[in-house]
Amino acid sequence: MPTRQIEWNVQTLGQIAIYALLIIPIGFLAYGLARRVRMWRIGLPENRFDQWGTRLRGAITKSILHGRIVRPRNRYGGLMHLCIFVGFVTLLIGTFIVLVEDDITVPLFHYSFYRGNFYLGYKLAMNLAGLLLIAGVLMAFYRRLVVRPKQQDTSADDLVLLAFLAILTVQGYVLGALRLGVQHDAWAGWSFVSYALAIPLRGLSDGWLKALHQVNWFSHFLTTFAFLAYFAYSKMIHPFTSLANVFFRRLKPMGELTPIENLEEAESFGIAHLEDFTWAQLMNLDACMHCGRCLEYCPTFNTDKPLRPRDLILEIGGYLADSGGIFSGELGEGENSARFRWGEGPERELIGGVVSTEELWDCTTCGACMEQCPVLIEHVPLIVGMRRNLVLEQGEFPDELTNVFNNLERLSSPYQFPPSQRDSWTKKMAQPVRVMAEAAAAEEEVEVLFFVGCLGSFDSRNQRTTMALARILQAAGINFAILGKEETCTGDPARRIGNEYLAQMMARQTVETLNQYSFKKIVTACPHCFNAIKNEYPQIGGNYAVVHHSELISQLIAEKRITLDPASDVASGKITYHDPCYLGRYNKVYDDPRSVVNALPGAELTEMGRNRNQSFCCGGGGGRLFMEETRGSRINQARVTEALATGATTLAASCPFCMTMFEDGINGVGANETLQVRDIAELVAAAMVTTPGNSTAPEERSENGGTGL
Amino acid sequence: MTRLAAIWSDDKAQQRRLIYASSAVVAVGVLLIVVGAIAGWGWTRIVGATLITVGGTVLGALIAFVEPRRQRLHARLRAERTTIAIIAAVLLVLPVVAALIAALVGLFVGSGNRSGRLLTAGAIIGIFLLAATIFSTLIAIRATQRASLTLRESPATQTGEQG
Repeated sequence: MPTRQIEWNVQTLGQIAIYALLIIPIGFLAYGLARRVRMWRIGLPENRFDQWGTRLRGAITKSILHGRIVRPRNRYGGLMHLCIFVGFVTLLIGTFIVLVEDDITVPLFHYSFYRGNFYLGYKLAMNLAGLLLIAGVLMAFYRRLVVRPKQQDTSADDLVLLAFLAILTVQGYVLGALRLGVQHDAWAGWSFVSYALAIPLRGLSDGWLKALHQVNWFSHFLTTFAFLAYFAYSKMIHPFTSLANVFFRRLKPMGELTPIENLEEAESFGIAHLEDFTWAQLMNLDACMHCGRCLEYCPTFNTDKPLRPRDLILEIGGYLADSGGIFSGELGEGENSARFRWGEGPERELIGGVVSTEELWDCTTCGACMEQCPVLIEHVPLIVGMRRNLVLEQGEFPDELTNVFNNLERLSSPYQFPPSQRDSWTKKMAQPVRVMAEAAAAEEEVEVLFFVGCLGSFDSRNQRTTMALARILQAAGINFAILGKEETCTGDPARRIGNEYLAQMMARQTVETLNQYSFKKIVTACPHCFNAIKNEYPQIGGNYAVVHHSELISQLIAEKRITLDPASDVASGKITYHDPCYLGRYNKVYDDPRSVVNALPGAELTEMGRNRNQSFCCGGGGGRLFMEETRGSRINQARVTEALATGATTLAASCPFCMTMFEDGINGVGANETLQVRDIAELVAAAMVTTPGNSTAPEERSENGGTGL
Repeated sequence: MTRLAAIWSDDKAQQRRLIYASSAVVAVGVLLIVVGAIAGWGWTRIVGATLITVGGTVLGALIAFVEPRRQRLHARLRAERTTIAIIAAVLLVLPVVAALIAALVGLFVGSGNRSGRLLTAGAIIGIFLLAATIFSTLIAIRATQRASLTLRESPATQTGEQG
């Protein structure tokens, strides 16, 4: 019956040595893991122990089944990892099967399963797994040494790990071949790689083969032990740390930042020391395996700014290691430490000494890093946490923000306009727009509250979007009203900038206003307002049904509540659509804006290379709209250039921040004649069949070149 | 279990006792393996291996939680990493390289009743595995050497131990 003698040609001394030496890799591994856990425990408490079912499901689908690793845009890297993973895990399981047979079932129960068809299948699977592992390792070598993607740095640790995997697999094949060189099993063909290798080896004498087998048996186990001992000091620790990170991931919406609780009584604000991170955030630092996917769509990395999300994580990770932890890639000290300032000791300030303020202020909070990270590291909350400390404790922030904070505090908007001008755009409307206070006073019912937002209220360019949306609502016969002079900033810019005090003040003020009135739904054209109302207001008791205008317009078109003129030429030429970060990545609204564009008569939607969840930020989020862009090249111009490359004549957007950034970007690259930026509401309003009286005021029509806007 | 909870606590005395206890568990495990192997008792291996694994895990975790990180030792290891890498490569990789070279030598010696097609397949696989092994090893040694060349003196490595 097909089988083989386990530990063939291994003497007693070898059997003793292998088990006795087990203490070394086990001890090192336990030490390395526990050392990390020790460091995580210095962090603040945070409940990540709820919803075990959801957590387990996520860990299985996202990590073990490679849901977040093999992705359309990362097919090569994903498949490479899948090959290594499947090969490695299969071989690991194979080793355990042998252990169970040899140490448990046979000696304890006198039962052997390692024979017959099971044995043949096992041999075939192991040989295939080895090939898969070697293929993955070679793919990785090719990627790191030949392709060299710009977002991927290669350190000694990366190459040593790949070498370990390759050598361990080759040793396994060679051991099998040396045995088959002596034992001429009739079923040897099932171990097809080892068998083929055994044929030339049979030219040597059995004595030679046995001697070689013994030496190789010892070297294989010593290599395995060396690999296991090295495991915890390299990024190979990621099967533990990354899996743990995915399991203990934050289950709240991506767009919800955790507020500072009891702000009035807090003694310190934000993150300035390792102890200010939560334990889960510290675990984030150890989960990073330096893959660089966070950089692929990062606006700052792609425009040569100091902030690189991966490096930020590794810089803080290095600081954690300096303070008593372990850096995942210790072998690379020198090259790694130069890059991530690791090894410079724990006597450094986190902000300024470990992470530069330039890095912190460059972030647009677009979330591209978090969306791409295969192990769900949350970069943005860390950055905002450190910004909070800079703003609230150190009073250090870019000069441009002084006016923003003053305006928010005095005028409830980042701009220097009095609240009385918030509804000035309504005067340009042909049909009157109701205000909530008046509707409430008249005891009139309001179905939809149109939350205009600061840019839509005050910025002349974005007022055109506001009016377009109001016209659409009127044309659809929707019973709506605005807050008018009562509307205040949602607090989103202040929160992302790090001024949590002001953000909470703004948010409470808005919720207080909203709670005065009765309505069924809120609609807004601003994804930042949308995100704040949807995801963050529930923190302070503001629970509302809120939709983005793209969702509502898409619904109105689908329900034929508005009619688009087939003869309209508003969509002549190609249109490309830009996904705003706070609508797309943060709230997963990708299809509605596209269905609106596709509904335009004659529209030809052409996608930019980076779209949907892989969209490239306009550069305006995270308070960057209000700051000067002094480092690297301009983010908005990079995106406009990408839009121009599609051949589109219209760049459609659905966010006032993006509109402002792209207007500047188009001017910056001198593309005013070839590309125009329009909000999807503007496009729909211009293509809409209007009834008499439902149009823009005469002065507004002339301002827009008679297009109806 | 409550005693094991000392791993997390700040009870130094209890942690010390646990270190001695887990060391003893490991020692018993090793003893069982030795005695079993000499006496030919198969059952002692799984018991011994379990004791070594459990004892080693607790010991490793305890040292991680109780002891300060020995930065000086780590720094010395890192400083010698190229030498370590070369020695490890010779010890661990040379046997497999020798076996693969032997396979290539075996092509030209021994009996002639081996299938020519299988011999060719064996030769191709042997050359491929040999190339992969040598390439991986050299790349790893070179990378380790390159990393150590850029090593800088850092405050952490000078200050010695820290918690």
